[in-house]
Amino acid sequence: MGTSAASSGLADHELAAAAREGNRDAFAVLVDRHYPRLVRHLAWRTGNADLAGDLAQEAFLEAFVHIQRLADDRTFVAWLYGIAQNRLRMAARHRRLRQVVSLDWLPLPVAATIPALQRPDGSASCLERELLAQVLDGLSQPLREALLLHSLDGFSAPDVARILGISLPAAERRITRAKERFRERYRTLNRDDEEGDGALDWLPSRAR
Amino acid sequence: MVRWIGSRHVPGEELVAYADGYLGWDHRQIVDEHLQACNRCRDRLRGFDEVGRIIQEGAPLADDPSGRAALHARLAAGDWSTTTSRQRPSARLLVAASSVVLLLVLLAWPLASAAGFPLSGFLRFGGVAVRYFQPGGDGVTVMRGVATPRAASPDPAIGFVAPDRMPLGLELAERSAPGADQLELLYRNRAGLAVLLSQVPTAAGAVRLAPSPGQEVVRVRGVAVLRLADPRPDAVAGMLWEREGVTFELLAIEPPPDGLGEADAGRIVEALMAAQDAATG
Repeated sequence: MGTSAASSGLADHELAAAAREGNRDAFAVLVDRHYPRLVRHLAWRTGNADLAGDLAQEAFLEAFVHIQRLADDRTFVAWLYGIAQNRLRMAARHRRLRQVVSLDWLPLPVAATIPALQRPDGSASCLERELLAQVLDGLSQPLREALLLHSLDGFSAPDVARILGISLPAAERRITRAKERFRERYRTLNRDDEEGDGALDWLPSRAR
Repeated sequence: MVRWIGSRHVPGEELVAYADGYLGWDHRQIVDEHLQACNRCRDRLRGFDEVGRIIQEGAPLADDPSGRAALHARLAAGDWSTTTSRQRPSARLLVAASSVVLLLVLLAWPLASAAGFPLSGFLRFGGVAVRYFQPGGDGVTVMRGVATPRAASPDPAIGFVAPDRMPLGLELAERSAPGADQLELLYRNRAGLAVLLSQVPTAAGAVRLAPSPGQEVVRVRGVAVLRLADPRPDAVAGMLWEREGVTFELLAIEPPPDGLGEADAGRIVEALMAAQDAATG
């Protein structure tokens, strides 16, 4: 299933309409189109690739089961992200609970698959990703989520408002502030990195 | 409605709307004319665009074929449940787990009273493991259901450290049997904080810390330390670093209500580095 994704010429809203009529192939095309994007968004929100994959799967499955609730086919992707947003909130609550009652949330052993441990590869793109992560980490959660939806996933401010369940003026304010603070922090971290002592000149870091 | 006209600048929110393309035609014309004449607003809009470019370049899209395939398989198989392993335990499991806890406590209490040692209360459902330790002699430490003989000290040749006390009143509470491959230590203080320290020999070849989103690299005594973010502000979930051939992982498994503060975590890391220096001379 899904092999026809690249060849499907139907727009998202047409596929959504077909999916609402029970066409599973149409939904499969939507999966192929938007799954990587949603996983990327959730990975940047959670910092955990495995969790992002789980949440993305849950969001798509919930969308599939409740596709009849989609009021406007043209808003399918925003609706899907809204489902993912709710899943993310639920996961955060469960994670806090699990920290109290069990050890199951502990990361895998250090020698295993901690994604932060990598062999040196001198990749410049890795530096940009690290700097981006530091800049985003300096934003509050409401600003970070609005910015990622707007600038990473390309949603307009009205769609950001719809996904986050806030008013349009509130979404516009968050996006504006997020962009302004992003620029300030990016310039600061970029400048600090250039002025570093060179001991870890391949990695932007904060000296103690 | 356009509320600013003339000498005032375009509010940021309207620049966002302008860039997104949902301003009304008349409103857009006014903003267009203003941008042609105003360097500041033009630069601000350009700056907003730059943010988008930086984010797009720093977060390229990558496919996840296996994840997509798994999703397709679930859809095809009719496995539409949206409950995953992360959403355990259910209320029924919690009740069952609580019953197990109570039963074990009742069974173990006479033994505990006779031997005079405390009963460690960290249980998990699904492979229930009772944690307890018996001080002195040939005492047995049980961690996660695996019984291992308790040894006196770690092997100094490997470079692991096991201080009895650490900052914040932390005292060594439990330990795994030391070996060549891993040492785990559980520290607790009277305020309810519990941290787990894991040590493994660093794998062959240099490693580099590259923080994922939500993480940050800080320096302690000149050593790069990966700070694992906690959802609570100014708190850390853990710290990870490599030093002198040992990779350390410090996790706050029972943090205080506000989380383990970054400064406190740094003090623990410094103390461990000092202990390592003392052990290796």
